[in-house]
Amino acid sequence: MPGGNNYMIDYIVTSEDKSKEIKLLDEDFVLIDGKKKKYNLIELKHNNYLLKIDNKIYQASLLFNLNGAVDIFINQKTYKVNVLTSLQDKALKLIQQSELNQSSSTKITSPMPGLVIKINKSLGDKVKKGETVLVLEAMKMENEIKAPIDGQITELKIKSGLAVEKNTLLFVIE
Amino acid sequence: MFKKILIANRGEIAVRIIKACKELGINTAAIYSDADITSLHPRLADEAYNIGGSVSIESYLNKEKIIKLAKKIGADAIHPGYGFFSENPKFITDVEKSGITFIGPSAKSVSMMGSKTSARALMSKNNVPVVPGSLEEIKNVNEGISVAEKVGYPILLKASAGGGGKGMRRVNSSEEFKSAFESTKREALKAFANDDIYIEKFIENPKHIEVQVIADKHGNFRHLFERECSIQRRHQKIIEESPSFFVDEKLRKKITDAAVNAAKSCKYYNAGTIEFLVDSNKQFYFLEMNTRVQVEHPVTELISGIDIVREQISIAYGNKISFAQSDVRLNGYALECRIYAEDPANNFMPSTGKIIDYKEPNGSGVRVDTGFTSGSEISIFYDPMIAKLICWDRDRLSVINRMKLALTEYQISGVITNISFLRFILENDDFTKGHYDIHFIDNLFKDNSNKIFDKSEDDLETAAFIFSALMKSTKSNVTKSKTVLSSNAWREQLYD
Repeated sequence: MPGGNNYMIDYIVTSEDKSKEIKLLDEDFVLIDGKKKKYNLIELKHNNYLLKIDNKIYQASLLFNLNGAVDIFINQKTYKVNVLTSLQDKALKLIQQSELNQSSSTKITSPMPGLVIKINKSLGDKVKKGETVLVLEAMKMENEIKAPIDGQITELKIKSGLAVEKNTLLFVIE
Repeated sequence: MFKKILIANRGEIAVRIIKACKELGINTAAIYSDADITSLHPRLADEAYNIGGSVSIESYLNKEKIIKLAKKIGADAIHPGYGFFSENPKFITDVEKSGITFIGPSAKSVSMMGSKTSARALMSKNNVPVVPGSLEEIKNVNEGISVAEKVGYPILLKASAGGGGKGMRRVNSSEEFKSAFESTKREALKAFANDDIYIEKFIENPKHIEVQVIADKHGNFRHLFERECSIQRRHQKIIEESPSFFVDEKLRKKITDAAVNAAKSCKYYNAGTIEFLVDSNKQFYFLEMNTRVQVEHPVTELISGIDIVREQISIAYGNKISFAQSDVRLNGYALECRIYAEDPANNFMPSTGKIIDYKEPNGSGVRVDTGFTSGSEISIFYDPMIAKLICWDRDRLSVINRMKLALTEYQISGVITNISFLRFILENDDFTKGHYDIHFIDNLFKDNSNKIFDKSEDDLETAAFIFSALMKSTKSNVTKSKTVLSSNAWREQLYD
């Protein structure tokens, strides 16, 4: 259970494109975007909990992907979440802003776990927007990875035959 | 009866076959690839052999290794399941040459049904209606245009060696014909190493209905009614049911007779499936024959009481079919949902990883055929099906309700599944009323594109967000002194 020193901290929870502000008031109440809810958290086993909110009980677990991202699994639904304290959130936004101002390169990461079955381009090649750079295969499904912009391939991180996790850096276009 | 059967497959169908063997008192030998050591089938079999690397060609598609192993361990039969070597005439010939029984049809029957054009020609000779079109390959554009005009546009150009929706193109007029002809040929050559193509009339809004047949080596033929498999996404079946809501007694008699004729025409033995397209006027047309056990065979088992896999084994051994046609009656209603490891909210991208928690639904009329459990790794190397959930009840609406509840009880965490999408389909009015064809899912996306994954789950979302914040707060407290070995920023953020 949360210790006393963690109450009254604001957390910013982000999942996909939604963000909510959550403040843990005490060991019974929480504010979510300003709305007060009663809660009770019971640990069943490691990373596995019952969470009661108002009058409804949910079964929730904390999962770690192979690539380290955090998932919340709750009543059959998986949420990819990122949790920051409001302080961290502010710092991150500042960093992102300055990165955006500096860089003109685009990083292309793997949209799914898969096997690289074909690479059409080499390091240094010029590519046009929409051109297929490589083909990933997973579970009998082929997925062409295309260049999102015109440019030159300045980094090519993978080889044909390599298995990649989701979100692995594949190549960089400048 | 056989003493030992080698199961040349993986996942749920390997488990299904192992169970049937055990019920018959036959020893089982499983093969598994490196990636599949955590799957259920190796641990359930009496003997388990690592057959090679994770890529199929090194393991489940390595013919020499499989046959050599079967001989070495003294297996007297091989069950191929579905996919992999199940419909490969060369494999059947080589297995039989080595003195081992193949649990399936003869290589000759498989070859006769393997090419779509030769199967079409065979069917039309044997009073099985085929989709109007050409019975042989189309050699050039002019010949094609004249055939197309005779059957009437729109037509489909299809690869003779095709399947799974590849090498198939709709043509609406003679102006479109030439370029469509050339690109279909190119696609067919690329996908199937064979550029023979033929013409079929395009059937508007058809249903996919198939008939289960069983035949033995003594010339006995039976059918086990129809299955309705119109709920498909990208030509992949998702939900199957039996009987079909759309099939009345008159159509049932005609379509099952045609299916038995189809099986007779290729001198079939083993369990098999004849697939048909059925139009809104209840006209049906032969599509293809699957010469193996089908993924969706459980719905037929539940409404007929016949164990199809046990029947396959007994027939391969040389026994007669264990039941008469008059012994089987349609009893109640069965529905199957395929549980795939894919993310419906993210364009159905495959989802891989380790299954962390796994809890199956249960209760009267609920059956789960699975190949995996908690701790099992769902890898990138094979198809994304984790399990099949099959329900039975006395009528269609009751079985839909039972399925909805069972889907809610099914807990799989660690990989993302399509369970929420299956529930969404079962709640659709057109589905519950039985008003659908093979375009159901496409239409569902057209009509509801943004509603599908965003419906009244605000409470769940609130709970997920609160839980996330609580975890961060809890973990930063409890684990402060522990070293967390991870280079990943997210994880460190969570643990502080």
